[in-house]
Amino acid sequence: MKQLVEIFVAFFRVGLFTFGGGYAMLPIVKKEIIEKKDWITQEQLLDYYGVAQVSMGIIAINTSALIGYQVAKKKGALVAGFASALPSILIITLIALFLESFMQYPQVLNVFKMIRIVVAALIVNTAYTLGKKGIIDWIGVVLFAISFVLITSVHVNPIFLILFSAVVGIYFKPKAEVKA
Amino acid sequence: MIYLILIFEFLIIGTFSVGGGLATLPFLYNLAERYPWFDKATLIDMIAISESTPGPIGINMATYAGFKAGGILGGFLASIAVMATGVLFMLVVANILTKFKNHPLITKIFYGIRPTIAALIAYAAYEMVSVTLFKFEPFKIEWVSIGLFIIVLGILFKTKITPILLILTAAVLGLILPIV
Repeated sequence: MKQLVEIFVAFFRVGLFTFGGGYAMLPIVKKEIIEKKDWITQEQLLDYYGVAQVSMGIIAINTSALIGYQVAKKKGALVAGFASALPSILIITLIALFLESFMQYPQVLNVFKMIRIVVAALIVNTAYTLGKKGIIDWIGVVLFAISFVLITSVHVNPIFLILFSAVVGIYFKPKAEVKA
Repeated sequence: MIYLILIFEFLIIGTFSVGGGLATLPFLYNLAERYPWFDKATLIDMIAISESTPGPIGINMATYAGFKAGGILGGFLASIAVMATGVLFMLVVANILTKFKNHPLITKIFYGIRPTIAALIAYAAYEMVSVTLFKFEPFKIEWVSIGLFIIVLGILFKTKITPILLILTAAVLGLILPIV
């Protein structure tokens, strides 16, 4: 029970401070879940985020559920998924009830703009550290380059890129030790 | 009755949205056409609010749409419904991943997808930076934003500061330092 409360609190924080799409959760997860709690490794975060991306449902919630399962099996997954969604549900309900026009205030826009600058820096930092963990040999460098170019230039669906790289992974022999 | 319809519609949306919160958009447009809950103009406001406030966009949108249709309980049920199939699917996936954790096939798949996931995160970083620090039409380089971005990035690479503290600082700073 104590552990489930701990999972709940940790993922509530993750949900509360994720501004933007699923990727915006990664810096928070890295600090709160990996560095502070040591529940999973950075490699596992890459894996779970990838699995979540090609699955049905909400990427951030799926990632939370996969991490929660590692900590406390089924209950952990359900608690983590729910806890990371709860701040959104509460905040949006409050906005819909009282503050529907709050986006018109210049101060509000300014606060969000400032937060986006921080989130941009957080994502750059996280992309760098997770990239170093995920790319371990020249095949990885090539896969990274191909994926990055295809998605920035012609917006290839990420799901195809992930499936393609899974096939490449099965076909080639890793040139360095693959960490769990 | 409205609650049953909401649960059903959002279970469907969650099940068929693969690849992120914005994947739910076409479904929500479809809802706006079939039900009198909200119109397409409201939907645009909902997107703006969902992208700025904390939490996964898919959950934010579901809470908002559900609220418009069926009040507080409607928002709650729609949010739970939109994440339900994904989380259940993750239980199955997590179970398989745990059982075959060291199976060579799983290791090879993750070896292959990690560089691509890293590329997707790098792409998110690239998008976030270009949207936040540059304005197009008319083209404008936002020097103050770039300065703040570089400072935050420097802090991130040099210290072990928690992202939550940075986001809170940004929010406070946003109230007193106008940059929009």
